[in-house]
Amino acid sequence: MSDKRQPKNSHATALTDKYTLPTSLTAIGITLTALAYIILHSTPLSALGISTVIIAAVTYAIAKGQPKIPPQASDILLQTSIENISALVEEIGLKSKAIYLPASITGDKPKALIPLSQEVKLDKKILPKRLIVKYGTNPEDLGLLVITPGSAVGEMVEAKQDCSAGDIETAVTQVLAGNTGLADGAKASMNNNRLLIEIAGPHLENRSMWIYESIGTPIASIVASIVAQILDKPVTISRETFAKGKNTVDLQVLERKS
Amino acid sequence: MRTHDRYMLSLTATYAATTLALAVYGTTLDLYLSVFIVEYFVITLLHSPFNAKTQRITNVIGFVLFGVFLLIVALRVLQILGVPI
Repeated sequence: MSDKRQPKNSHATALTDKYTLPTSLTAIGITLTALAYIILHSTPLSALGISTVIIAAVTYAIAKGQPKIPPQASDILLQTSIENISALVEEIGLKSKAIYLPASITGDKPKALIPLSQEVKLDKKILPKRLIVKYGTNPEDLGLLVITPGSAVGEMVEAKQDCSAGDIETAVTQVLAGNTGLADGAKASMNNNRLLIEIAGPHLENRSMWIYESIGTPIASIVASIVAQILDKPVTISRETFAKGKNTVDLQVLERKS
Repeated sequence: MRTHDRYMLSLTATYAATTLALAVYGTTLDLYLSVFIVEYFVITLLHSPFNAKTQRITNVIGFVLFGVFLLIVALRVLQILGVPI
């Protein structure tokens, strides 16, 4: 006997679930306000009804901003892409720290260059859109130009002239707390060509992976890409520490030889 | 606790406390509304930034509430000037 049950439309069900609370709260708020104001003549109850309507509107705003892809699915996709980069880098045997480059150097989007040699001097030229790139005149000036988790979010910010620590803090907070919801906030302090970024309440799990020694954790990678993009300069992750629900990323801003 | 949850919790707790406190004093509805609107702006600002979609809707709510606030102020001014409403 064939099973004639129809599969449930999960997307429609999810949408209904998402808007059930705001709709119910609006209905309760309006009814309470009308009853309290017209029939009961009670000011506190009318105010309670109005506050319920405001809360319903805010609930709707939050429901509307919820991601379409579940966070677990995003985590799986992120993990897959990082494991692919890790396998590639490990196979080639690169051990140097990645240099995060702004879109003006890659000619595309912010990317990370994992060089063969430790000593890297980048000039003003735009790098070719390839995986293995030659960035200098010496034979050993070769490296892998990879797309990191920061590459996609790095496009959300633009380069800024004479940018202060406050500007960087605003940009990082906007991306991490606003656009992606990966952390609760960020603080930045700048000292010459060193930048210290404190990320409060990071939501990504800290798995230990070999590739993190080179490109940093996904959050550090995102921060480095944003900083590289906003300063329009290459950036490298010097150190990364985790303590008391905070992720501290120490970045070094590199200069380009003219 | 995520920012969205904290935002909702703060707003709900503040509104509940305000309603209770002003109910004890026995004030008019426009005072309740004005306090709610100011609280909305303060709490929203403290929990910003949100993602683009949420931010757009909270901005619209803000515009509507600001309009209501201006209306309340205008009615009060007219009342003080002795204009019959």
